[in-house]
Amino acid sequence: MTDDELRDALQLVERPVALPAEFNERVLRAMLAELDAEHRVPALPKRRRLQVMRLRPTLGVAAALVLVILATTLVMVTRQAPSALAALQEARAQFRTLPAYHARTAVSANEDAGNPDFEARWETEDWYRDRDTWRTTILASNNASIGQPGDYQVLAGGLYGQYRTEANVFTVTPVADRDDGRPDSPALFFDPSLQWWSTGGPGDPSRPSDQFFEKDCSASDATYIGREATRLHCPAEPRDIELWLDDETGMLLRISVFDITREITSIEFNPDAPAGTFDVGAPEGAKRRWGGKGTAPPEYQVPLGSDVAARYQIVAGDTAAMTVAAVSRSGIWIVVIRCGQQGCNHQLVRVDPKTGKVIATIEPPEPAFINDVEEVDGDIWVSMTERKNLSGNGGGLETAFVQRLDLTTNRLTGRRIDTGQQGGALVAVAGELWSTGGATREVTIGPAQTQYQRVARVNPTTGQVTQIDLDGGAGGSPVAGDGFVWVATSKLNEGNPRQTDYAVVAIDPATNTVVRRLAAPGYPNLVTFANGRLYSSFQLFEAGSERWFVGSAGPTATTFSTSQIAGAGAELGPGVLAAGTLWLPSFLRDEVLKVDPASLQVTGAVATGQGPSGIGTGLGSVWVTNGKEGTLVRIDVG
Amino acid sequence: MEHVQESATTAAAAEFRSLFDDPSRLRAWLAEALPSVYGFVFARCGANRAAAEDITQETMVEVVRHRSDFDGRANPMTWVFGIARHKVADHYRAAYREERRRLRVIEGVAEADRGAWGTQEARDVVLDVLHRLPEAQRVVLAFHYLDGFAIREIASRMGRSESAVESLLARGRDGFRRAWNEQQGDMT
Repeated sequence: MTDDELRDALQLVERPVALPAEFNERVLRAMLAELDAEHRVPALPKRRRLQVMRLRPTLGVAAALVLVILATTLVMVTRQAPSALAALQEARAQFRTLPAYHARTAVSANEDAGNPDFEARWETEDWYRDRDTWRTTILASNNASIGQPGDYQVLAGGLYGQYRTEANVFTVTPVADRDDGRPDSPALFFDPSLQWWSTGGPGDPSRPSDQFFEKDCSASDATYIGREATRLHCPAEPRDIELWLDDETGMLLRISVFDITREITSIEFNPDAPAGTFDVGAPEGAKRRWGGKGTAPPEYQVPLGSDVAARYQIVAGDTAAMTVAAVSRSGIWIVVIRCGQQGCNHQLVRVDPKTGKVIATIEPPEPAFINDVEEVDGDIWVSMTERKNLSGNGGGLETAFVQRLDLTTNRLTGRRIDTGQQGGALVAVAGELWSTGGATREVTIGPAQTQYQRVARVNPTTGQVTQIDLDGGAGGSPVAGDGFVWVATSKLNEGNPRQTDYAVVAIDPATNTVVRRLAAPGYPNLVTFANGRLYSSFQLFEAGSERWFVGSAGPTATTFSTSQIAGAGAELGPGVLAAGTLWLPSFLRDEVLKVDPASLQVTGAVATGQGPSGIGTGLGSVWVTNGKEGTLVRIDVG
Repeated sequence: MEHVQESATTAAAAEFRSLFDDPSRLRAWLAEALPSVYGFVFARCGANRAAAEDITQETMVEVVRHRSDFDGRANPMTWVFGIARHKVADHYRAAYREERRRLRVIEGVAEADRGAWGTQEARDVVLDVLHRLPEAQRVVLAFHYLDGFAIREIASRMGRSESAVESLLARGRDGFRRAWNEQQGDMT
């Protein structure tokens, strides 16, 4: 199966499909509700009880009592039991004026996203003033994917804060900077409109419709946590669905649906919140992180490690990606990507290594994007991939190519040299470019057909391109060393095509053939070849989890010696070797880890800024780009 | 000439926005647009039906919220697809870390997509193949092959590192081909 065939197959899935009328109605309702909300005038507070299920004669004077009894009797005789739908609709109306509250909640879930093995129990403490002012804290949790006790979220004053105890990081994001707008308040899950309920009742492919509640459910009086409530009961398989609606506010006090039960275990309305409850602030000693766009305010900037010699603002604020593509006397070459709702914008930024000032910003020719940059004999060459819109929705990759950049005009110039299909990273060896973006070839392994990407060897002077077959498909960034070009590969296991084997291969430029193969424990991110050893970091997937390793291999090895990088969320990127130390940026830690190449143990870390996403070395320094703040940091290593 | 073009785009934008003032026209437009939006989202969220429904609905609500941003320069559907693409990425970025994903009640996806959604045989084969892959691999495949996103773009949209995405793509590509070949073998 070729890449084009794979794309064609996927396009079958994205074609328009006939939808059930119920789904159209559900979406239309949501859109109309949004339009309605735009024009809605805040309703007067309404604190009446649900009328549908109760008849409570008031004690009073005898005459009044008689009248009430008569009236009640008349109603009971002539009126049918109100429907579950009526109760729900009334609750929805009442919920629009939900008062402030302080509650404890408990949730148990035995399935998630079709995973029957999922099991979680957790409890929260919620303070709610209104949709724009609330705080929710995890009190207990038996499943780390939910969070840990002490984790909290708080929204107030247009700022959203999120604290994770595991990382001891408090992230603050202005609501205006969130692509998906205001975060959902804890009250969402107790809203009788059931917005969070993403799948439907029995036999209904969408969220349960009003018809479901009308036809399948019954309503009755109930008491829940000492509050008068209305209980909706809906027979269903494998277990009945039940909802308890608070009579005073319309709030869902408890909902039990399929394998999830969510309940309020205690609640107080209009409470006196302790001072500071809604402060969007970090706990003592927590690292504060800015999640917004634009430059982080000083109080949220990562305190730089003492090893940082300089920090330059290259572009304003948060980027989608920012990597160091090359370090040379002509400049620090940085690829910057910014994404918006309608697509991403790619730029190559040339920075003066002496002053940190931006010399030029180069746009790739539409519709191409930039893969990598490499210097060959003083010339700068850029690897790019030209997009081709195949699906009508913006999709499809087409041609990878390299082109020279004129250092005087800062413009791409001369002929472009096509190297293959999907674009690749570059390394320069003896005046030539080696790209992992070579042409693809079809391969049959056992019963499986697949497609592997070659390495393209490019003579920039003549434009000649030589395609080199590998034992597997090329990927990642190649490195040069010991007279060879080293490339990370992946391929299907010949004995068991369900398994993917990772390796690093050495290509001999004299013969354009693979002369050595090193088995890798996971996906390799090559670092460098130095002192007779090849260094790499690895990403290993096992049982749905990811682990990160750093490793090296000597001249006679057939595999790598490795050491695991401890700590969740390391997410190591490609690294460099400088001044006898391996430097590995950890995007989520806001640090560059220092690793001893002999022992492969972490010996220290340098705080470089928010979201270190790229690294390069040269001119006596290590250069790190911080994608979340748009900065370039220089660490002098001599 | 520029003035004429500007008038045309302004008129197109006004025409689109006026849909939202007339529920019957909005209903008619939705009936026409929704199958395409759903298909677009479904393919990009790893053929996860429950997620596709949610994201499609969220997309259309977002269309309501941001209708004044539509400037008429693009086809309205292109603009809607852009929002949908963004919502898919948001969904997976959030699902990677956030609690909310754990709060969903998801039923099986593969079987439910047959019949009720008017699928056809070829599409069913692809769905079968896709559902043999982990969800993250399906999503990365869609971003890469349908949207043409570079690895860096996918990484930023999903809130993952580039190397993580590169690895997901490599494994997804191999896994899809392997499952595809097995599927073809089963059929013969």
